[in-house]
Amino acid sequence: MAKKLGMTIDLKRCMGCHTCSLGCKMQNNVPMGMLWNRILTIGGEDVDTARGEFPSLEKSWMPLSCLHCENASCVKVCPVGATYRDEDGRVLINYDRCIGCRYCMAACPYNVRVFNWQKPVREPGHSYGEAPVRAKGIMEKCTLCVERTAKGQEPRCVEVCPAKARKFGDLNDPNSEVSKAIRERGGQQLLAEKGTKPQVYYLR
Amino acid sequence: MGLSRRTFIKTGLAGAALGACGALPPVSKWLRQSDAASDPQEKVAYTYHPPNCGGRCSFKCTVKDGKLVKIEANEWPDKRNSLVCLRGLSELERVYSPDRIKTPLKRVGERGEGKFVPISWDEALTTVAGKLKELKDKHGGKSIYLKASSGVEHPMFSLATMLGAQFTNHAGIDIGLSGGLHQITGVGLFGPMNNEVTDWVNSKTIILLGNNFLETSMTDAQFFYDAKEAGAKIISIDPSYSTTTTRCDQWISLRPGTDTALILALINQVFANKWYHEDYLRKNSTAPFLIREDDKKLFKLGDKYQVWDKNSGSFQPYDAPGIQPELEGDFAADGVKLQTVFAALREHTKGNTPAWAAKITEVPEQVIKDLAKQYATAGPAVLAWGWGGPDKWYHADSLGRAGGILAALTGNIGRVGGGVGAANHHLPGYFAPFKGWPLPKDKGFAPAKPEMPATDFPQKPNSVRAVIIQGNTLNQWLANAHQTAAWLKKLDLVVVVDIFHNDTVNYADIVLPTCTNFEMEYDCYNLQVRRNHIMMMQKVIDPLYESKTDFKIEQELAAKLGLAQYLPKTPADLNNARLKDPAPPLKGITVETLKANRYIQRLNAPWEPFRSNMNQVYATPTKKIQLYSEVLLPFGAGFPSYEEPQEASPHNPLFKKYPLQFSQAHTRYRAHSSFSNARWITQIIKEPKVEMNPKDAQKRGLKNGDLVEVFNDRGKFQARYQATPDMRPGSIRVSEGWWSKYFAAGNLQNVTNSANNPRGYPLSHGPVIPFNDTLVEVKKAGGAN
Repeated sequence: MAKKLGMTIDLKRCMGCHTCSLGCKMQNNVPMGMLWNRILTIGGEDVDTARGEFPSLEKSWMPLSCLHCENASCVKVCPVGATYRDEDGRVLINYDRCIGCRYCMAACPYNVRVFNWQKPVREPGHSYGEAPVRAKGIMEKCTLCVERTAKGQEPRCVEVCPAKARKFGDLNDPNSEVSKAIRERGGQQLLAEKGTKPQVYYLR
Repeated sequence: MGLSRRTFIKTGLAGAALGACGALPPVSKWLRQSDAASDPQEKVAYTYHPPNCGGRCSFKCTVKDGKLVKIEANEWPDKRNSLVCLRGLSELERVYSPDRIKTPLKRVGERGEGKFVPISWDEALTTVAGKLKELKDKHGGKSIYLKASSGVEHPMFSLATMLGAQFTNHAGIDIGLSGGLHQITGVGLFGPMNNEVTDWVNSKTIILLGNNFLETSMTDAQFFYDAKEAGAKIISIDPSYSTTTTRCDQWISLRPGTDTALILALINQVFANKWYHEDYLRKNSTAPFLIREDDKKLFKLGDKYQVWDKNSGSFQPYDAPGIQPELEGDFAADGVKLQTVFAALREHTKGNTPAWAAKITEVPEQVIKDLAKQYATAGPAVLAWGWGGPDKWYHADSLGRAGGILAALTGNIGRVGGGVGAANHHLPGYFAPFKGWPLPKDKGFAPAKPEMPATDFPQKPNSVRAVIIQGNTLNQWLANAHQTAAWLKKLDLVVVVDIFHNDTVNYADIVLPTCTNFEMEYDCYNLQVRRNHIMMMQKVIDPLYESKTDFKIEQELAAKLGLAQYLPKTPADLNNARLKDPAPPLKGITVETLKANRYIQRLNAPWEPFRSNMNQVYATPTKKIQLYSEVLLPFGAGFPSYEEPQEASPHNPLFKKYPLQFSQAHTRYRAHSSFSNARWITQIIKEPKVEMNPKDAQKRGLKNGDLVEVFNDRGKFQARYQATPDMRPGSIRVSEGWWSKYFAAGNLQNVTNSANNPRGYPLSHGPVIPFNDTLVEVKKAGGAN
């Protein structure tokens, strides 16, 4: 059976440290002003602030990057077939085909795609990590670290999480860690009502 | 990695096409014959992360065409430690920061103004050496003071020693609670917890006291969650709602600076409910020792402390074999009444009831009672504090002592799953002391005896005329920045050795550019022991610009002084000396074995979690837990008592003018002032924020994002207000370490309290800087912002 690669993110463990976010940036040569994976605060207006009135407060964090939807709206709207779902269930972009129309950006309900409006600026001034360089006018986003996962490694965000909040595996394998966690913890898909069927599940 | 390989070839093509002659080379030179793994342009090097936080994560670094392109966790022998954090990853950019100092600099403006011109290394070193020699000849070595910040891997201790200079590495910071705990258990510098964090899985109750563990020790987060999943109840005691608090089972918010009252109430409850461990105290502590009613000293016969032995019905030396010391009773000697330490402590804390503490701490009485019961009866229990909160108060020693006493009464020291002290970044662990560099004995080399705690230099007359500073120490380390600046302006010479142009640099006469710890002139660099492993640094890249390692700078400065022949030639020589005739945990470990093992090896130590004092032998004069302190008797503090904060108290008349308590808390985004300029991190958090409860802001007419001024009689600074319901009303916070250029005006150190508690002087590491014992007021800053 074909694979359906997916991930679980335990929001009870996530402590908002942004390590996965910077790990992703390094691995994927993500330019300045962009992140493929960002940590959103579930709380007040600003990063790391709570909502509520002292001392009745609530605060947690939600890492968000491409959720690799089984029924991906970005794939449907792409007029040139640049965005596609590969045989293992990753939603990927063929950078050579992308024409920069940004339909996918508008179609994605999770707002996870980032666009190179200008020539990408990389600080430290050179390329890093393992992903290829993207040009100005090209869309980009999380690839489930295809350069790593194609070799059997975990995505960088999973590897670096100091809280061990992320798990990666095959959703088609009922005995995989991810399948078990989704079953046992009642894994939730973000905006499930949209019918996009994300392959990244949150454990709350 | 086909894609990156292709990109690499494309780059090569572009380069060739732009070649000077423009001719196409033959195909054999055009196409590379290697794959990425064997590409001579790509290499892997192993090092560890030093700056400030103490985590010492071991890194596997990938270098391509001489540039750092990837940082990954090295594989540790104990694989649980194979981690990196956001700060470690941010080095990929920070190393190449535009804030790097590229050449030696000479000041041309006033001190503090930050105006410099580039000079050569030779001019810089000749100037510094000439001045040092002159000062040493005229005023003695003690007129020179060397200080290295905690992120510096090679403090110039040998140079300080040869100059006969004053040298301190640690003063005033992270030692407030440990100074107190040291009185009780003899704990070492920084007062690490007895039990390694990996032992928390064996604990039933874990109290985090002002300890934002999941931010300051984020690479230990898995052990926090392991303990929680194993069923430990984790309680956060913190005025504000911290990141860690969000993941705890219970949160107790108290008025800042009143932690000692809370702990004394727990001690009171332990006595009231007889939750103390009598046998443990009898055997392992000074509880049966006897206090004289006349001078409050401990009763001695000859030079031996005495206890009352139940078996013989007589006074006996406390360490006599076979005795059964009494914990209570009416005793007298030579007409002087004697009371056991145990009974005196009970009496001392009799008034510290939960009702009493509730009024002070603003924690409900019942919550205090429940907390006492939980800690005392649902053990093993951990009392783990941090360094960013309750440590930085004028009376922190009392809290350290009270915490030690509470843990001792309940038998939680030297116990699986127990422990008391600072739980930060795997500080507790198997110990492996290094040897020092052997300077010749016949030259009379010795550092000057520190004439006072270094935190007093800006405050009291002293001999110091020159300072050599490694790191952003003067701004980050010392409170009350205007006082610091006034001191610096009086000095004859200020030399700053640093990587980046930060606040301290601005006061330098001569600036010497050092490099990051990824860069070096040598094949390997320093050693560190952490988390039961030993690590060595391998060269990752060449020093950038004209920078040099601290090792090289020390060597070249020594050469100008005619002293270089006494120093190691290379860091490898130093490391070999440090590992010579090693202590058992280091046996068989050499520079060569480290090189052969990815620059990291586990110590020869058991695999079970490190736990100190399991044999109930303590590093105190009596080898026991000392519940009573004769050292602090001259201050009327044989036992710790609660005192109102020195400054940040509503009872302080200053409170009317400055009603807000000001904290500078540690955060995951920086380690002290390191990473202020890491642009991968400032992409997330770009500037300092004045975190304040919206209720306090409303009273001052502030809207979220307003530019505000924080001020008191010491000074002021400006930054944006951030609506932060997490903050306890009445207290505000700016996360520590921001360089001045990130503030709209000033720096947070302009307002902080630098008072030294006289009681701190006889303690193990001197008085603590009471950064958080500070009162301020906040108003909207002028202008249209």
